[in-house]
Amino acid sequence: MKINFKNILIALIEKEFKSYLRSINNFMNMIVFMIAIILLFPLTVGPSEEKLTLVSNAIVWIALIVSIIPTLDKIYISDFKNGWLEQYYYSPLLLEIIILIKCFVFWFFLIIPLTIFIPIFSILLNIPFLIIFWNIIIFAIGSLGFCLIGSICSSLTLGTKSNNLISPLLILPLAIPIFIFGNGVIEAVKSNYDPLPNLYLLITVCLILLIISPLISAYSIKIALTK
Amino acid sequence: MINYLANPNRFLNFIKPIEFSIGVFSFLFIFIGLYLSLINSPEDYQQGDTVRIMYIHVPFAWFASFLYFSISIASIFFLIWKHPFADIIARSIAPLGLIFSILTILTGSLWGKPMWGTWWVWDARLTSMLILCIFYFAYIGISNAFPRKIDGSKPAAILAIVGMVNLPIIKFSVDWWNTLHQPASIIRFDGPSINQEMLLPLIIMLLGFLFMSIFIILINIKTNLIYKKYQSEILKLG
Repeated sequence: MKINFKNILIALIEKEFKSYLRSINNFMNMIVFMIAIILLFPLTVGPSEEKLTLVSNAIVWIALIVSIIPTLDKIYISDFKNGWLEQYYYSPLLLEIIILIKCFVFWFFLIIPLTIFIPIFSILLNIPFLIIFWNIIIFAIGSLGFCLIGSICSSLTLGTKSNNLISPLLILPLAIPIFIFGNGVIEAVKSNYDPLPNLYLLITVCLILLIISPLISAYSIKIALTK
Repeated sequence: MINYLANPNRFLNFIKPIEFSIGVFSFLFIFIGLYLSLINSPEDYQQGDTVRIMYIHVPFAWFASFLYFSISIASIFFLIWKHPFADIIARSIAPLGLIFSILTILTGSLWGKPMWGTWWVWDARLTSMLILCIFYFAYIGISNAFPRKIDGSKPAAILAIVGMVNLPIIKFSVDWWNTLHQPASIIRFDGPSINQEMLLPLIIMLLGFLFMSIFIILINIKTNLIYKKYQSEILKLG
């Protein structure tokens, strides 16, 4: 039988998109969580503007990252329980390519919509417009790397007793380069330096992850399936 | 040689006569090293008596990263040749490495308070050591997270290999970034820059720590082997 790559691709993307639409609850949870964190910071740090401007950017980042992590380690868990992963494993397409598509769809339909909230929260915290612009760019690039790291961790923890305790421990140390270079861009913009070197480094990290992550995830999914 | 020792029974027979002497060696070296470093070595001209923390801080730090390196090597062996004994070795090393990395951070902050004025700074060397500690936690966590213990070995091995990225960052962090932590003074291109009288006790302490970690790892390996045998006996009884 001849394999039509394009049809498989479209069917896969459609299936993933539908599954995200049906679990819209997750997305709403993320937003509620984000709003809660944004609310908590001015209440705990104190409402004075000088203190808040020092940490306002960090608050937005923390809100985004902390709200993403609980969904990040569940990229494969429902597919694993339904038996979809086995079907992917036996399908003529390489498992690595399917993982890459899954990560892209996850990133495009679940993470990219969150960028709408960056300007809203930033205006609430008095962040200047130039930095909002750079924040959106960094988040769009860095979150792809974040999804790829999440793919590694969620495939490693397939079939564990307690998912939630280990995965932040796995995700955070691997994601440190993204935080460092993202923060470097913002610091450069704040002090009127050229932000591009740090941005290139951030893109480099994401590209390296784009190569490594599908290989590692596919290998550990194969291990999880043969248990 | 490795092939010969890869059999658990042959390994146990091999280590039985030498195990006790390794323990004696570690005790002797650490005893002499402690005497030399605490009593019979000069004070630092800047740091005074607090420099003596170095004689335990440096061995802890070296062996914390070296043990992680050996875990990753054992994991590579396990993933390629699928030999269960490599997995047992990696699992037996992990708790000791975790304790060493925690003690590195503790002794470091005890040394940092009188010298730098703070317990902790977010400097490259200190942060990368903390990440090593987190990797140890993650390794132990993931290797015990599965309902059947043996299912955790392959994910843990992958994690150990991924975490190897951190090791060169720890080693070279003092050269790549401007850190509060002092640069390397023993392993350098132009020879050690440390005083001869301080180098000798440090080397003796390092040897003592080497023997001590081998001794503890051997005990852990024996314990894990017994546990595995016990589990297979339970399976047989059904």
